[in-house]
Amino acid sequence: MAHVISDECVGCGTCATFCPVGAISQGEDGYYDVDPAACVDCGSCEKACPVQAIAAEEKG
Amino acid sequence: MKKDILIVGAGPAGLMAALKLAERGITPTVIEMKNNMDKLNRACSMQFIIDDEYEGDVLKIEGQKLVFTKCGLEVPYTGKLVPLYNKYYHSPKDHIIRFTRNNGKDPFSYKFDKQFLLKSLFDACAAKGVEFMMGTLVIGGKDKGDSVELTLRQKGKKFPLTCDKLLIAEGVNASVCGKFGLNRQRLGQAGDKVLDMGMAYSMKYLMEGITGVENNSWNLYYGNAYHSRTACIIGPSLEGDGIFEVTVTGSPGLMPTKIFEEFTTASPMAENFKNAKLIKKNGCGLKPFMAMKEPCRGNVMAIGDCAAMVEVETQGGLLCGYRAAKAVAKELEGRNGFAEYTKWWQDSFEFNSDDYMEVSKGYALAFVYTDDELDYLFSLCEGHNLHGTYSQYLTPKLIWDCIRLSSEKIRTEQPKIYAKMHMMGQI
Repeated sequence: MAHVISDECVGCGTCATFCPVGAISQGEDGYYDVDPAACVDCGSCEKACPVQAIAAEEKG
Repeated sequence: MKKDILIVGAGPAGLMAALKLAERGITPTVIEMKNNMDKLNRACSMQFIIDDEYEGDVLKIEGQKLVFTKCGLEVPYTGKLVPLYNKYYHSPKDHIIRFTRNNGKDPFSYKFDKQFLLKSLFDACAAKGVEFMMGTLVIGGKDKGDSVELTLRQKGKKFPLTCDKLLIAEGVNASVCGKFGLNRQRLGQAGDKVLDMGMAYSMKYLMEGITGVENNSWNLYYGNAYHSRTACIIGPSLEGDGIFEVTVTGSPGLMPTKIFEEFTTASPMAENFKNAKLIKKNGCGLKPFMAMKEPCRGNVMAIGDCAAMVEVETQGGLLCGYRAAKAVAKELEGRNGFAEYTKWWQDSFEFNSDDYMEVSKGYALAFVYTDDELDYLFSLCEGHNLHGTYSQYLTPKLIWDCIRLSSEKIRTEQPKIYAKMHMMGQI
């Protein structure tokens, strides 16, 4: 399980500043991605996002 | 590996500090979260504010540079500039409070190209030998007394990096500051209760085809009719006449995307948006903190927005970087540069003044007054030009000074409003 960022991302980077483990970084396209191997599912990024583009990945 | 100086953040404060240190022969390393400086996606109002004595200096734009006339800092800038002559506060029924400088003869601010400015500073730094670690996040840190150790993450790899002095210039959310314990006691206090202001979100929409809005002006719409708890703003863009930026600010309970939708389709402004087209949108999330009283601790200093009450604006960031470079250079010579910086910080920024919180409460217009009451209060200011522009300290002062000219009238005509003004300390 990890958090994921949808296409709604506006690329502001707010989520990355709130991630306590540095799991969110800017991709080649300028938008942000969560590294699922590093994500601790704390939900800080979800609360930080101005456009509600981040959610916990659904099981399965 | 050990560095002399590490700077976190390639924004106005971090880049200016890096440049001024490099000019003194002290070459720092800058750690930046973004991969490059090609794009600026974070929403920002991007203005140079020309108010005299704003942040303790007087900014002039001369030829192709910014000149801070009191401290002597000069910053080359050859990007776009859009002058602003009027700022209007609109009530629901469109009674208007007008702010100008010298009755509209002089601009009170300039919209500028922040991405261009930052890229210019970045290039100037690189030319002076400043090292940049892009795409790099700070995930831990500790001041060990004789040095500062950071834990970084870059391309999925974690590694330590040590320095003598650390400058944190990370911007408003101050998360690296938090890792060093610098955010303790920065949440508001109401009596004995800690007041966590949670998150605020801003969205900025670049649009064409909005009707009835003056070019080169800022327009702030106050009242429940506009569906926001703060002002909905229509201001200029860098794209020329007729293309505006619409800025709305919300919270977890009232997302800005929803405010935007209602402001543009179901408010008194809906008609003006009938044929408007969205060109681009930006956003940002921010966690409001009270200002740091002591931005320098041990071997660490926090500069710019991360130490501020919300924000210092780009020009404040540049000033912080300029002063911070001086302070660090002194510290490295064994002199007390940090104390000098702290005194300058406390004296120069309005949010550090003792009565700032009290005065800025006057901004809470739509929170406190109903739409009808706002119409009435704004109508009392019509026919006056308020000489002031952007300061969050001065602006509410000007509004309420103007309204108070009609105190007697309000007391007799609108005793309810009068009582609210009394309760809010405005009378």
